[in-house]
Amino acid sequence: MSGSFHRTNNNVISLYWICQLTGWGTVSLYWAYTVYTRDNYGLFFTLLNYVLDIAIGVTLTHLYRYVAKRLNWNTLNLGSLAVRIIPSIILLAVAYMLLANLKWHYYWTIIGNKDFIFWQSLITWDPVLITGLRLMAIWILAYHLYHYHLNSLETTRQNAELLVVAKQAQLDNLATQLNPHFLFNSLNSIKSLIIENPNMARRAVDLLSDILRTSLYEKDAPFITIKEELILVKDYIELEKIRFEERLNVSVDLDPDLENCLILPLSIQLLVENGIKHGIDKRVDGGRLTLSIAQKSASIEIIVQNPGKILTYNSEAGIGLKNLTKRLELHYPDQASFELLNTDNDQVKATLIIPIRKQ
Amino acid sequence: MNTYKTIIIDDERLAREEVKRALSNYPEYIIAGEAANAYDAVALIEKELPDLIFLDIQMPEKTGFDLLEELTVVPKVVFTTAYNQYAVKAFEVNALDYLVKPLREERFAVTIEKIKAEFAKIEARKKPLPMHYKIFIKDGEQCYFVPLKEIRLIQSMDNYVRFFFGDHKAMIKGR
Repeated sequence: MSGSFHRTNNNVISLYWICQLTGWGTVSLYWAYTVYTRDNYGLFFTLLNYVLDIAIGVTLTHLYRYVAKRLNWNTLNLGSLAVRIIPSIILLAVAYMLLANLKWHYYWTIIGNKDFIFWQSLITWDPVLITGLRLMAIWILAYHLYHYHLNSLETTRQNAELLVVAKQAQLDNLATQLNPHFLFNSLNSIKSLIIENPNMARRAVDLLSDILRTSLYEKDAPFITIKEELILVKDYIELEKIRFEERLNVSVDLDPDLENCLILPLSIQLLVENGIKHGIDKRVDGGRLTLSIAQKSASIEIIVQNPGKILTYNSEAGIGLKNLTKRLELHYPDQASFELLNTDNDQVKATLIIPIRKQ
Repeated sequence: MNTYKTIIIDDERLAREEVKRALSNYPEYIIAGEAANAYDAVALIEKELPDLIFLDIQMPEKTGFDLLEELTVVPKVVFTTAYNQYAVKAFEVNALDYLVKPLREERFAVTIEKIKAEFAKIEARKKPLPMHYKIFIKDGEQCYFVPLKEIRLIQSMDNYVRFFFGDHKAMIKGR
């Protein structure tokens, strides 16, 4: 944000001066013409008058710009901007009137040898004050409109960027959820089984289909029962057992009273999947994964334990677990906890505690 | 028919079966063994000295790349993996080919062609040159184009080799 503002500033600084000089240059042409033809200023004083007119306009408005920039008026909303603009216009118009009259007074008293009273000259408001009001209003409105336009361009650009970032995150997430390694390895096993054990191959296709269906379509529901989640988890385990064969052993221990309790969909699945992918699959001899779901006072305690060691969060497991913690915080603020630990004898223990909610 | 000793390394038995099945169409590749992890694989390769291995990358505890680093004699390697992000690294370690699982038959045929071409090159290097071939010898400024059958003696002298042919002898720097 600050970077892009900076860039804009560098480009616009010359544009600002071009506008200032051509703007005031053009407006002052009118008075130059008037004083030359009507008041017979002569060429030198007409030019001097022209330059002074430009100088007055540029100085006052530049002063305004300086203040507006210092006070960040361009970031204000319309209401608070209007409250500042209107007095500013009046103030600037008065200043304009004083300066223009000062110039006029000295011309006529010194060059024109007339006898004007100083303070009366200064406050001759008609038509100088009106002109000042008109000019300052135009200038300030143009200035703020231009910045409003720049701001809205910048906002649009930022919004577009945010949208792209969000979409990318969504896509990355989807790719992880689909778990291509699991998918291709499973397909490869199935291909092999088609010759070796057609019935098991058919079974594996059924399991894989249901797993894909669940992970593609059914994660929109905020809660599902433990019973429903375990159908998916068991399918997943059965399919992985086809791949891992004797390297993978699983035991599931569920308190039957909890079957109809509600949990976040794919939460147990994530823990089991991580246990297999980052634990069992990393060991030559594989091992046993235990899943236990038990009641602990008013909470459900879900524990997944498997051989392995958490070294650091690797990015893939990281995304899944980060999502899970985020979802826990969202659905059970301060009532749920998740913990992943290395325990003795080279085991990893994931503990998820959530409040009991019945269907 | 030349035959080539082949070893298959993959932590999943079903995946090994798939490689075996793909290879069964090419009888010149004799499967000398299979291994389910890098430890067994190293022992098997050191014992059998195969010409060719089919190697999975992501295996428990040690990857296929780790395995290659441990070998003293490295056979020709074809990687088989479900992970396509390793392709670049695979060719950095001079793999003959990089196959993604499941293996497609026509893709596997391409691999076999690459293997054949590689072995043909090795065979060509082993074959002696026919006697009527000439070799080029440059000794300092003096150049010779000598038919092999005229070389009487090749003498090794420290870093140099001396050729005796006709009335000449020429010395070149050995490698």
